[in-house]
Amino acid sequence: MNKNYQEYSFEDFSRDESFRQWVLNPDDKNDELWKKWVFENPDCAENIKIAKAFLLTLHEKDILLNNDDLALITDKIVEESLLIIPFWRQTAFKFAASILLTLSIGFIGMKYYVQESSNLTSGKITHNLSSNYLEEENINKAKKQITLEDGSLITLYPKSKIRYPKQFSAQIREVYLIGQAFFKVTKNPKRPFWVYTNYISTQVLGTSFMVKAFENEKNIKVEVHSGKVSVYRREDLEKAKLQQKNELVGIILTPNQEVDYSIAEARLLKSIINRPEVLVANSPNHFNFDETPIAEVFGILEKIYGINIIFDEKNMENCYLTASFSDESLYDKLKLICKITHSTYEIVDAQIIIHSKGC
Amino acid sequence: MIPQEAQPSTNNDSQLWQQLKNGSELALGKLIKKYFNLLQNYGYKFVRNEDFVKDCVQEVFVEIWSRRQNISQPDSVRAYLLSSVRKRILREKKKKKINGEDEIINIENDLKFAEFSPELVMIEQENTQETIQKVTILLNSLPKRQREVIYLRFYQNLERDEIAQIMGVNAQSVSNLLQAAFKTIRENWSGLIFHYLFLLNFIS
Repeated sequence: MNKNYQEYSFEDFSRDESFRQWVLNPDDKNDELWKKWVFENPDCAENIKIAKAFLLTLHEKDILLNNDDLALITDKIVEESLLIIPFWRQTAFKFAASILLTLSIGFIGMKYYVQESSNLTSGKITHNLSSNYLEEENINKAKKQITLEDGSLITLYPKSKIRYPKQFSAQIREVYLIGQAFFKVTKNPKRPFWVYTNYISTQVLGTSFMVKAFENEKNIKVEVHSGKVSVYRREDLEKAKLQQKNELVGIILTPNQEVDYSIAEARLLKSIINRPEVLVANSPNHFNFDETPIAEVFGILEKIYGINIIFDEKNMENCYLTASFSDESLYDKLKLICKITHSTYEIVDAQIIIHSKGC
Repeated sequence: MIPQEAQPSTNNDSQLWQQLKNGSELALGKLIKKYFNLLQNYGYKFVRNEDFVKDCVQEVFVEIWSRRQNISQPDSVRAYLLSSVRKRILREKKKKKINGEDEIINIENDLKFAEFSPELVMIEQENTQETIQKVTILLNSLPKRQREVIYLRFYQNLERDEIAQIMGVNAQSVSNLLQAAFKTIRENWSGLIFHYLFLLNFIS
């Protein structure tokens, strides 16, 4: 511990950690110690003074950040880097896509299903589903798990029915659904996975999704939880097949998006699912914003929910947010932001649009 | 009474780096606490724009943190960080120049070590203030490379090898630059000291 400070040159002093602490971050303790030492060793005073002057000349006091600022920076770096972890590196994405699909044509009931499936047998979709298939119906109150031969998992909801071949063909994997099911599809780009319901067909491009197609509901719904799916109206698909067109009129869904098919209007409407989930694995469940520019806040929400937020940057450039978010829903977060920034939001085509008068 | 010696920091750095590689946010926080201001200080010597420098330093840590699994263990963490900041500042400057935003940060073609301009230290005794002014004039009279070497040696407390790595020259060049700088300093300093002692005697 007892350093030979008496023999130090000014260069040695300026490089000595304890000396540097005294000059650059003085506190009562080191100030007392060093002042005493300088007093006891007056012959070193000159070297001390020069070393001090060197350090102070090179120092930049006004750009120093305090420990609180530095801790905030650390938090921010950890948060940001979570957001940029590529999706393919996350284990949760080993499945290709999961969807929830529900089909509904209530008044016709099971009879219609039989009729519709006999339509299937007439070769409209594929002969694979017309023969040598298995059919599972869930008449219990609990959900039922089904594992397909390719490893894909289906969670069949109560009052739902699914038909699938014992063995998928080499080119395509096809299942037929009535009711509601959650799919976790094993990735295999060479064998696309299709889910057919009465009016719409869903192709899995990427992992987990829910299809809701109950017979007594007027809407069919596909919700994507991860991966990517494309959804088509059956009639478009069949038309395209007949005309041998490569161009399909479909809607591509990414996580937290859903499409509704209204049977009455016969059209697909893209939107955001009811309870958007945080898509980024290991994402921190706390976000502290402290006078954060609103564009940055929206940027983070966009990334963690995978949903586009459209706002007028110019108009909102003076909007700042100080708030801490934890596990409230996306919509609750948006409500809070809107309240603070005097704005409103709406959802159009699965995107969030913010209307603001500015702050 | 001898002032307490601060903990040696090099071993500590390697340990922190290893912990960071294993995903320790605590280690990241410690490194940031230890080096962020020093790195800002270095960046500020090139570009006198606080926000720009802060962003660059932050980006260096973001990159280290997000690539932590693949990043190797540097011989000197301090030198690695300084060199990363230097490179990033050069790169960002170029980018800004391409985007035509150069009026903000006053672009040079190369990294230019700015002149030192210490703020006045209110609490210091008058003669220290005077010494600071002398040092400033002296250092600013040095060629830019010598100025940077002196800065890295004195302020950033680096060894020759580390300075060589950061400035992208060999260790011998660093020695030469340092020697030349020291020579200038000593030659001009003796007069200063003499002047000071003379003044002291005169007053007393």
